[in-house]
Amino acid sequence: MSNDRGLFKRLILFKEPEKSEEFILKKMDSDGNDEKDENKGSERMDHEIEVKEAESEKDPKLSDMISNNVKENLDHMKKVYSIPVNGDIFLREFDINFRGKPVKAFIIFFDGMTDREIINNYILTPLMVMSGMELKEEDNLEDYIARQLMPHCQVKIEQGYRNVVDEINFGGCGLFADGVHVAFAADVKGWEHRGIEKPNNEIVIRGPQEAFNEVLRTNSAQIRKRLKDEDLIVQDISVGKVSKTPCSMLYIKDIANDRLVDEVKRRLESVKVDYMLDSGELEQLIEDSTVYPSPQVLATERPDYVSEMLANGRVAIIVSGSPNVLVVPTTAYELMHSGEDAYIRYPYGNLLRCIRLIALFMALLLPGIYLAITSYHQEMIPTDLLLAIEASREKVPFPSLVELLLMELSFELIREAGIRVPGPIGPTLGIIGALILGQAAVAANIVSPILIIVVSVTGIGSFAIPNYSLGYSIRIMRFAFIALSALAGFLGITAGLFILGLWSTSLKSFGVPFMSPLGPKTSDIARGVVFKAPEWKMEHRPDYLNTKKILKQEKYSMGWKIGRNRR
Amino acid sequence: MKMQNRICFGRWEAVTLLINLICTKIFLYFARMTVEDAGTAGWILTIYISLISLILYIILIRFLGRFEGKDLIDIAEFVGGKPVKMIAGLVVTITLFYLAATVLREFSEDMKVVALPSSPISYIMMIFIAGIIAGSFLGIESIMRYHAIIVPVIASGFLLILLGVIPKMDLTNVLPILGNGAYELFGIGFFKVSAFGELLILFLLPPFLGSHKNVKTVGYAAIGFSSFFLIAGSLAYILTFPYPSNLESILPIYQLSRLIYLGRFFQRIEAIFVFIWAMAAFIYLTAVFYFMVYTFAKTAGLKYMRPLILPFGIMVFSAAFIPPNLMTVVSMNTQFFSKTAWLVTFVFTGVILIAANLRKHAKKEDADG
Repeated sequence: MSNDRGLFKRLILFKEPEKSEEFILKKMDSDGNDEKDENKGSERMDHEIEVKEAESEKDPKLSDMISNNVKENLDHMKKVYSIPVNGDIFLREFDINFRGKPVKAFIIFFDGMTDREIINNYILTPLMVMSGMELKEEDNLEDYIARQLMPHCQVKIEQGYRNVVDEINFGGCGLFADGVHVAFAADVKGWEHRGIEKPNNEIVIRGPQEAFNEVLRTNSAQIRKRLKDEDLIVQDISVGKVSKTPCSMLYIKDIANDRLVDEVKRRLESVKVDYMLDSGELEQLIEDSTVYPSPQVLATERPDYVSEMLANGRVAIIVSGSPNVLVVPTTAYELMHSGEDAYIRYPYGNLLRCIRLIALFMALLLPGIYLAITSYHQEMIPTDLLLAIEASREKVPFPSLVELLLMELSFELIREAGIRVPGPIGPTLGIIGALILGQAAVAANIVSPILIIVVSVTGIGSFAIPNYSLGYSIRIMRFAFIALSALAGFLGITAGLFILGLWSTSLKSFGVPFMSPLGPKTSDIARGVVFKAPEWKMEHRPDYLNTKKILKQEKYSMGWKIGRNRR
Repeated sequence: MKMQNRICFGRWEAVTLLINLICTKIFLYFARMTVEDAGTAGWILTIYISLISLILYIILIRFLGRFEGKDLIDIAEFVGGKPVKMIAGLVVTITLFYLAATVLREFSEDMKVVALPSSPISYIMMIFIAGIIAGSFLGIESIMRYHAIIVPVIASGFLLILLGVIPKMDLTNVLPILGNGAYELFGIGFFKVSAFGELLILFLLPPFLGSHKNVKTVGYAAIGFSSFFLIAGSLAYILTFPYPSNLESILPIYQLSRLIYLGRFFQRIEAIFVFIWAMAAFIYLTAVFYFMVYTFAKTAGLKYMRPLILPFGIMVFSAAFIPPNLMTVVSMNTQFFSKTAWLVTFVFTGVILIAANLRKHAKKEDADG
């Protein structure tokens, strides 16, 4: 209610807008440089320092430096990890033999997140067994451990508790020894995870059959193995004060616009949440408009698709624990593309894009148009069709609107139940759905057969939309168009299309107009953004991305056609 | 595509805006009006006024050249300070207000006739005004970009209608070739250059378009495309119906679309017409309304124009009720506006531009010595 009042107040009363600078993706100069706003940078730094200070005050235990007394360290870590209340944290005490004397030490790690084999063979065995051998004289225990007793490839030496605890929380193993004022953090991650499987939602016939999984490094490796380029940067950022979810921001240094990279980084760093468990949450926290129905960030489970978009100058964000990778910026037309489009010949690709476009309009408008025609504009229906519609509606007691809403709601109900229903009874739901939506409803004269066709075609249309989130937005907007159609027929639908169109053109995705390249018009229309161009003709990267390198292939990419002499 | 922090849009967006502003009248009264004025030579009248508007534009744009990035209101302020700025701003605001109110009423009345005969006129107008207000709240950038997307769709739909009636055309309908006579055609017909009255908005666009070259190109392209559509529309109408019938149709292009017959099933193509027609109305009214509020805010030196949108919306909505019926609105547009709009677009603008050039010249001479 208070929200409604707020909206009403905003409409009636005027409040001076807050001073905020909108991000616009500008062109870079020829060297790929752009002027930096020094003040902004320093402001950001100040803010970061303030946040860090605030955190330090709040949690003095973790901001402390590591003591050289192992007993103190042990007590500290026990407090931090609530040992023995915490069941999955393992703390193992032992002695290291240094110059013939036993030195007290302990390791600490999470069971289930670490690889026991590595801990036993490459951490505990050297420390407990090989330390007695004194392979090479060392003066200092820290150097002795680091250089001789930890034959493991990824070991970090940390001076503060904060970093060690972060490593342990993310599948590391912490080692503390008496007389040493540092701790060793070994990367021994080894949790169970899904392997690389086929994509579940973005299925293609032609093209790679690998999908992302929940492991961050596996996902980044899947992209790196496709883009074997030293300029591909995988920049790590953690999001979430408590969950500290590791995220990676991927971009190709010599292609992506620096301003875009900075903006993505700024948005990721500015996210202030305790927990962030999936890319779906992150998407909602970094998108430009949270009210607009369609997504403004592209989420995909296909590494090949992400690789292609990175090569075009976009930025990808991988979230640890999420099999969907986010790609920014995106446009309305790209949401209608599929990963397969690039792999099939251009006439086939264009056929598919046309079909998807028709599907989109059917899913969005067909029920509204049916309602408008049957309620307001009967004279516009060809006579034969009018007779068919009227004959089928003769025995139906409800007005078209009720009939339509009844069927649309039933359809949505079945769709939602189909996702939530336990596997074994899934087919039963299908049978019930078919009976309710089809035969029984018609037989009981609750709905007309022609409406069943309308709702079914609408449903099929919505399944043909390649982007899952866009499918949701179409479902929501379909009801809005039904309402508008009930209010004013074709005029209502046109009003809806008008407002939706204006709203869409007012949007930006990370500084790029959402309706590019048609509104505003750029030179990408013939370059495969709206319709697919022949592969040899796709020489340019999308204009609206303002990339450092404009061309992505030679003008004469089919070198063999030029002829040997001219080449 | 160059994007900058301040609002700036491309030439194509501006051209589509002006095409829609000038050509929307083709969906309303334009084709019939040409027949009323010049008889079967209505299409020649359209060519004539297109050429006249082009000549007048060439003259005006020369005077505008010395004021790059300045719109008519800025130039008026340069001429005579705040008083002249106020006069210029109010003239433009009142002109656009008149256009918004009459066209809102006319479109709503026509929509009632064509598609919603049982709905009250206030209800139809309310839907239009709600769209206009919502559109204006979304701002000039989205209005311009939407024009770039939707105007080609509307234009294609319009051309499809014209192509669809080719089988019904009869060349003898254009005879006598000079229609009501040379004097009616080239003498009185001159005033019909008001059909290009919406070019007035071009003189509000320079701050958004950047260089003068852009403004110049936009004007030429807009006049060129608009002339093509106006000529095509009036010629198709004259070729299709005999002269007596041409005088009677309230919605000429709608009547054309009703004739299209593509076999037994596809005989009601006018359904497409309703969509493109209503969309053209929405974008036309939103653009006119937005520039009206923009001009008023600029004239009054207001920092924000958003608070004005709702009050102006209510005013336009109320003013649209003043004409008692459709025929009054139609005659207001065909008998008054289409004969006088040229005074504002070409004469008033010309006077300000000439005065500004003279003042600039005088200032330069003062500075030189």
